[in-house]
Order: sequence, then C-alpha cells, then structure tokens
Amino acid sequence: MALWGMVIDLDRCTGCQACVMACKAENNVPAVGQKEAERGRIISWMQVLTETDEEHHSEKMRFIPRPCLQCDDPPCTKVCPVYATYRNPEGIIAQIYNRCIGCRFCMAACPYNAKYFNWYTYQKEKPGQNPDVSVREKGVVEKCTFCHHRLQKARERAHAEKREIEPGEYNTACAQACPAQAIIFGDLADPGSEVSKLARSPRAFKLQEELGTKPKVIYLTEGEGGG
Amino acid sequence: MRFTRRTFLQVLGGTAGAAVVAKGQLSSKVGLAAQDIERWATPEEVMVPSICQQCPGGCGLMVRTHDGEVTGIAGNPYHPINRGSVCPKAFGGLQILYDNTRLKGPMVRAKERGQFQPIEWDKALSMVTSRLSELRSKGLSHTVLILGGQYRGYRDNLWRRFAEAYGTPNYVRVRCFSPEKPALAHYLMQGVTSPLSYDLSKAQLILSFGASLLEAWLGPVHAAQAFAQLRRSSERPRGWFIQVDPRRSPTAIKADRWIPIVPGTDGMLALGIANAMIREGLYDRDFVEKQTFGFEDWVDDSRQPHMGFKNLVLRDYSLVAVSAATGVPVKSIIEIARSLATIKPAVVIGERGPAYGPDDLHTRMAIHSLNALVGNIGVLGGLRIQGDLPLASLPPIRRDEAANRGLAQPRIDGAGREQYLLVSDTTQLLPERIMNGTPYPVNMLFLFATNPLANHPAKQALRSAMKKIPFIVSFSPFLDDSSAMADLILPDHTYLERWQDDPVTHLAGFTSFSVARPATSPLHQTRNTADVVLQITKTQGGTVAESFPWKKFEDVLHQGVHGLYAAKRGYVVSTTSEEESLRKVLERQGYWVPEFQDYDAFWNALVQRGAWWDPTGFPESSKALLKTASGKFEFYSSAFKRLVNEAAKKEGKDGRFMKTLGVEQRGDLLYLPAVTTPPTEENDQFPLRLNTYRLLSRPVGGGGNQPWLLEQPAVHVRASWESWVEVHPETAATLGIQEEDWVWVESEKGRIRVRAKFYTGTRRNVVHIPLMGRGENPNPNDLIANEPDIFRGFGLFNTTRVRIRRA
Repeated sequence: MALWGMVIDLDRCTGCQACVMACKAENNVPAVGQKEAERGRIISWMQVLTETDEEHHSEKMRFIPRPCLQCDDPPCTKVCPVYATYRNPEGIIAQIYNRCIGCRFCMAACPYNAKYFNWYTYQKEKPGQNPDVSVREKGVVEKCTFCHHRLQKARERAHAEKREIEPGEYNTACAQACPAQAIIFGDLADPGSEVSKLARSPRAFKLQEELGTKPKVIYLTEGEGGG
Repeated sequence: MRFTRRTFLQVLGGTAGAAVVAKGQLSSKVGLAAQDIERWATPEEVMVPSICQQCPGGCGLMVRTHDGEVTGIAGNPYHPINRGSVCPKAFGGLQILYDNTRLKGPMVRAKERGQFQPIEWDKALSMVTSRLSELRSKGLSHTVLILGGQYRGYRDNLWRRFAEAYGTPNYVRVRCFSPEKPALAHYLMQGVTSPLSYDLSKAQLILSFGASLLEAWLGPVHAAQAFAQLRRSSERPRGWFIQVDPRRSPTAIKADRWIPIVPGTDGMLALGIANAMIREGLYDRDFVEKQTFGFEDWVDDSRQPHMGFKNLVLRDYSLVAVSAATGVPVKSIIEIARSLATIKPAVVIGERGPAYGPDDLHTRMAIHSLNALVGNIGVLGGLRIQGDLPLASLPPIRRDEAANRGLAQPRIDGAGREQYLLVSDTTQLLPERIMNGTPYPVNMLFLFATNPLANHPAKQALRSAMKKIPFIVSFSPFLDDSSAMADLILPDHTYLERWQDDPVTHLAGFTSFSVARPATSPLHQTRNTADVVLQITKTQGGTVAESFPWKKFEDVLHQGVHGLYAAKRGYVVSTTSEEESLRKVLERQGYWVPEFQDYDAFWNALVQRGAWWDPTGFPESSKALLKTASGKFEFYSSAFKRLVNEAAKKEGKDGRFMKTLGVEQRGDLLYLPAVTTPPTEENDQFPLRLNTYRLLSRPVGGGGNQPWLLEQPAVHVRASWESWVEVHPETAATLGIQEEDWVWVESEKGRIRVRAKFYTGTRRNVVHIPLMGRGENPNPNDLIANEPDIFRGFGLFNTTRVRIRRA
C-alpha cells in the first residue's frame, strides 16, 4: 500500500506562491474578499509562511510552504465528533464535507493551522472551475487533500489499463507548478522513490516533530550538506 | 465508421474552440447529433497549449478544457522556457477570462466621456475607417497616434506595418523595458544588437545589482529554475548568490548575502569592487589584455592621450569614497571582489533592475565592466547572446506618397531628436506635447494593450491632454481608466481566446518561438485586435491594403513560421526523450534530421505542442559577443563617441543633446563607465527616499481583476488587498507610527494614504511601496515627478524623496 508524502526543499523555495495559486485553481478555492480577509478568513490550503531568525535581529527570513502535513498521527481526526475527517489507508487525511457539522474542533486541534472554515458561501459553481472538485458550501471545514481527485483519476486509468500506478503519474498541483522544483511528491513506502530518498537526507526535518504528529510533509533545510 | 463523440470533434476541426462554435451554430444533422450526444456524454477533456501573457517571461501553458470551457491552467511540460512549471500569475489567466466585468462587445461614447452604449461591429469599424481615410486624404495621416503596451511578436509587427503603410511616425510604446533590444550600455560596450543572455543555471556565483531575479526580472520561472540549479545540483557544489539592494526583497532573502545599499549608488559600488579587483590583481588579466579596449591609458590617432579604466577607477573610486557614498563597508567591498575573482564562473547582472537614478547609463556600464574584469564573456556559466529567430520575412511594406509625407514628420513624443536622440519612445513627454499641440495636434489615438492613465506619473496632465484628442479608440477588453476616455472601444479577446505568438528573446540564449491557437472560443462579442487591424487596412485600399495581403492573423503567423521550417534547424518541442534522440544525431553525426515531411505537418505539430526552439544554434564565441569597432570589449565606448560626434555634426556643439549630456564638461569620462558621485543626502523637509518595486504577483496591466493574486500579493509582509508602505520599525518609532497605522506618504508632487507595515529588511532612511494593481489602491507613481531619462526614455522612478506622517 502506498504512503503518499511530500518533501519541500527550503533551500530551493523562493516564496513565489506558485504552489498557493496552483492549489486555488486546482481545488476551486475562492478568494474570500477584502472584508473577510481582514477578519483572517482567507482560505489557502497551501500557504507560504515566513520565519524570521530572532538571533540575527530578524535579519534572516525563510519561506515555508505549508500544505496539510497529512500527519500519520493526526490530532484533527481524533476530535471530530462525526467522522468527517479521518486518515485513509494510504495516509491521506480525508475531509468529508457532507458529514461536517462545522464545529471546528479539528481546526482547534491542528497545530499547523492547516484547516479552514467556510464562514459564508463564498462562491457558487461557475465556469473556470475544476470539474473534478466539488465547491464547498457555508459551514464546512476544508483543507489540502494532496489533490486526492488526481489519485482517483490516476488509479482509474491504471485500473482500466490493468497495471499499477506509475511513479509520477499522481502528482499534486503545487508540486507540478513549483518553478524551483522545491516540492517533490511521491510514495514514501517505496524506498526507491525520489521522495523517500530525500526524506532520508541529513537536511530533513519535520515541523513541530515534538508533538508526535508524524507529518508526512518533510522539509529540507538550507545550506550545505547532502541530499 | 463508429461514430463517437471523439471522432465527431475531430471531424469538426480538432480545436476545442471550433467544437464549441459548431455546437452552438450548426443546425445540420451533425450539429443536432452533437446536441443529442451532449445530453449524456461526459464532457471531453482537451488540453490546448497556450502562452502566458501575464508578463514578458513567455512561459508555455497547457490549458485544460472541457467541451471548450477552460477548467484549468498548468505549465506546458514540453516548453523549453518553463518545462511544465509556472509562477503564481499564470493562474490569474482563469480569472481574466471569466471576469464578469469584461466588455461584452464594442461600445461607443454616448454623450459625455465615460458614458457608453453598445454598437455593432460593422458600424464601429466604419467609424474608424472613415476617419482614417479622411485624415489621410487631408494629408494628416501623421496625426494618428498609436500607443502600444508590453507585447511583442507579430502583433507588434502588424502595428508597425500599419503605421508605416498608413503614414504615421507615431507608433509609441509605453513600457518600462524592451525585451527584444539589448540595454544601451551593452550595445555601447559590446556592440551587440540583440539582447545579452545569462547562463545563470551554470554560473557558480551570481552578483546581482538590484535585479529582482526571482520576482519580476526577465522571467521568474526561468530564473527560479536557474536558481534551483545554482542551489542544488548533483554535479557541483552549491552556488553562491549576492544581492545588492536597498530592500531585502524576496530575492535578497534567498541570497547568501544581502548588501543593503544607498539607492542610486549601484554604479559607485561596482566601481569600488573594480578598484579592489584591480588593486589586488584579481581580475582576469588574460581576457583584459587580449579582449578589451580602454583598460590601460592609451593614445589615439591624433596622439591625444586618454585615461584608461584602470587609472580612472584607482583615481576616482577609492574604497573609502565608495563606502561613504554607498553605505557598504570597505570590508564587504573587498570580500565581494575576492568572491568574484575566486568563484568561477561568475556572472554580474543588473541589467533590468529598477532604474538606477539619473546616471542610469553609466551605472549600467559600470556594472557591466565587472563582467569584463571577471572575463566571463562567451564562457559557460557567463554571458551569452540571444540567437536570431529564422522567421520568414513578410512581404515588403508598400508606401505611397501620402505615407512618405506622413512618415517624414517628427514624432509627437520627441523620441529620436534633440536630447532624446538615443531613445525610441518617450511616453513621459506625451501629456505636455499633446496638450500644447507640439509639433502638431493629435487627431486620433489608438490605445492597444496599455492603460497609461493608471500608471503614468503625470496622469492628470495626460487625462487633460487626451480630452483634446477628437477621436480615441481603445482595444481594451475592460473598461479601465484609459478606455473610459475613449470614443470607441473595440474590445480585444483575452489571451486564451485568440491566436498568439511569442518570440521569446531574453533567456538562457536559445531561440524559441511559441504559437498558440485559441484555447476556447470567444466568450463575448470581442475580436482579436490583430484581425481588426487587418480588416481596417482592407477598407483603406491602395498601398495600405496591399501591405496587408492576409485575411486573418493566423495567416500572418503561418507565413512567418514557415521560416522556422525552412531553416532546417531546431525542433518542435516534444517530450525530452524524443527530442534528445534527434539532438544526439546532430551532435554525434553532425547533421540535423528533419522530423516532418512538409510544412503542414510541421505547422500542425507546432500548434499541437506549442513551441519551436533551437537549443544548439546560438552564438557563443567571443566574436559573436564582441561586435564593437575594435572587436573587443570597450571600457571606453567608441560607439558612444561616434554617436556624439554625429550628433555634433548634425546639431552643432550647442545642441540640446550635447548640452544635456554635458559633452564638453565631462570630456572622456562620458565614454567611460564613470558615474558621478551623488550629492550627500540631506533634506529636512523630505528626509526619506522612496523606492517602488514590482511584486512577483503583479501581472502586466496590474491584475486589478484577479482576486487570487490581490488577496495574497506577497509573503514577506502580511498583506491582503490593500497597498502598503514598508518602514523600518526604528524609523517608525521616531515618527510615532505603529504597525498597521494609516499613514500619509508625501512627496513634493503629491501624497497617498496607505497602511504602514514594519519591515526590518531595509535601510532606515528608505521606504518601499509596491506597485499594486488595483484601481482604487493608491498608486506610488502619483508621488513621483515626471522626469524622463534621456537614455531610456522612461521615467526616473527611483529618485523621489518623501516624508511620512500618521493619517
């Protein structure tokens, strides 16, 4: 069974937000408008965070693209009273909009702020949207799904052709767009895949590893060193 | 034949666009059958290659369509410029296409300017053509002014052709740089007539003077890919990157070293680095001795002694003086010099940074001198030059007497004359000259792909000037500041709806030409402006019509592209492995293998895959890169000297050009990269310097209708929807300003109200305002005086002083 994961090389990331916009176009994420943005309600499944280095008088800054980290031990699923969010067998944290009652417990539980709430119906179905992804309505929580619909398509195609999914056949929109090739996506269970090789790099680290969430999005730090 | 939906669409012509038109309009049996199928069939997914038009980067797109409706955008994996990746702006294309404020068809001015009512295309076109004929018959063809924005390729070609055949010298481009031309400094020092390119991905050290490499330089995707190579590549150690910039831009954040500098002193710093390199003997002696001119002192034919670059730098640009002027410590200058000398290959860029200030040309020359000292001209990982595209030449333009008479008139913008002798366009002067009717009144104005009233530093004056023009035609797909002033709007398609071409001229050196068919049929009653131009010329008859022997824009492309096929080189892009095998034949056996039997097959493949390129055929030798009179890199520009001599002959020693340049006072220093020392910065009334910059998320045209980009414009400060000013927290503290306060930023010219954002990544006496593309957002250009630079013809946008107070 595949275990889908992602490696993000912070040495290469230029903070351009191509991943952010690619995600919005792929997953029909709307712009919420100025008023809602001022209330901190921007929905951005992939978000570029910044970190300043206090030791150097904030002179250093780094960009950290943050999708849902798809934790192997996710805090968000455990608090959901209606099983709207759960870890599927391939390691992707799924979100079932029809079950969601909008209690936002999962948002409170997520240490990475990767979950977003639809305070209003921000958009209706309209031209220009991706037909593979449903438009969410008011009152539900949404988040990055590792472009799960792309996995479904790839799997259907492979099934029809009576074969396994090939490496690279399933890729997320953010990884596909990244101009610096800082985002690598693939199967962590396959020791030969690029993503699992990079995940074993000495530069690799995980966000807030101490919480024991076991994220499957792994970062590579800047500077010299292998990998 | 088994009749499936797929075959049906293929019968209809294959393009997604064609399919939709057919569905809507055909009432034949086939059409009805299509409607029947429509009821139950899953929409068919068709991927259409296209070209991103959000910046001059020229990335190839793959547009996902379902039954002709655009449902997604991604990079074209075959395209050599971006290889499948894109920048955030690419996705804004979806929001432009489906923007519901788009004009639904042609509009005519109702009564007052700014009020419109719909009009039919035929009527609208006859309004234009009758006026054009009338002006021409009265001998006033030259009073037609065409303002064009940032675009290139055959659309530019058609407008140029129209201006010439019709008989107006006034085809004026409104843009901050011309990607198809080399910087003047490069022409003067290397004699090159096509743009230089930089082998960034193979460089081991990049020294950048304010070029926003990773944001808004020549193409952010290509630059980011090169940067990724510099950072991590399996074959070599991690590269080194130094950014000189008054502001810690995202590019500076990613640099290994950020050198904060006093704005406008980049040239001083470059010469300071040269000084250190010369004193420590760190420059490439071999290259400098054999391939440069004017390094050592020299004597000319009439036995006049001239100072060389070396002594100039040692005399006038001591490290202490440079450090005092630039604010860069002596230690840092020496360290940069040593890095340049020891890390090879090194490349110095700074070509399209912000305007460097009034001494722009010499600043660029000074920066470029470092490339000669490093000796990286024509080496791997250094400087290269764009190859030429072998496009077929179009039939010659026919001119009659009326055209010749019109073309003989001076230009309205004053470019190419007096102090603007070296400049091809000076939009900065337009408001005043149109207002005063110098040298003659404008009778008709075409606005194509530009919205000067949004960004021109003298927009009030331009607005009043435009009111004096009796007939204004805009081709904007939107009702924007400028099109609102028009008498007639003939909306263009947006880029995913039209045939497009893009000769990319500013990259790693290889030549590339993209062609795109419409990804979707037009959503509204709009027309491709290129087709409209062809239609207009038909009605003018005579030599004007003869100069345009095409029915539609596609025919123009088809004719021009034939040259690529006939050149017997290069490849239509395709998957890497297929192309590799063709290239291997060329490399191993030395001959080029044709992939296609005839031109039709070539054309079809080109339209299916999106681009043609020639990865091998670009000039690399130092001979191709050094085309000066001496055949060497010229520290002392003889080409410049020649230009000045010619001007002196033409207009005398007291002419405007000679005076503005200060030919007499500056003597030899004019032809050397000698920047003037800027005056010390003391100004109690306006103690701060204003630096405006272009965000990565800002597309050509501002992007006011692209909510995704406006909602998350940047990440280095927390910002959304509204523009802001970046202030150092310590500066803010002395002014009593808190984070997120509303402040007035005031200059001598005007004031704007924006939010203050604290940012430590700046020199303390400089504040920074991004150019945010949204109509209601305050525009920093309103603070900037309307001064044109005599070498570039564009405004000096980085010399303004401001003060800030709480609003």
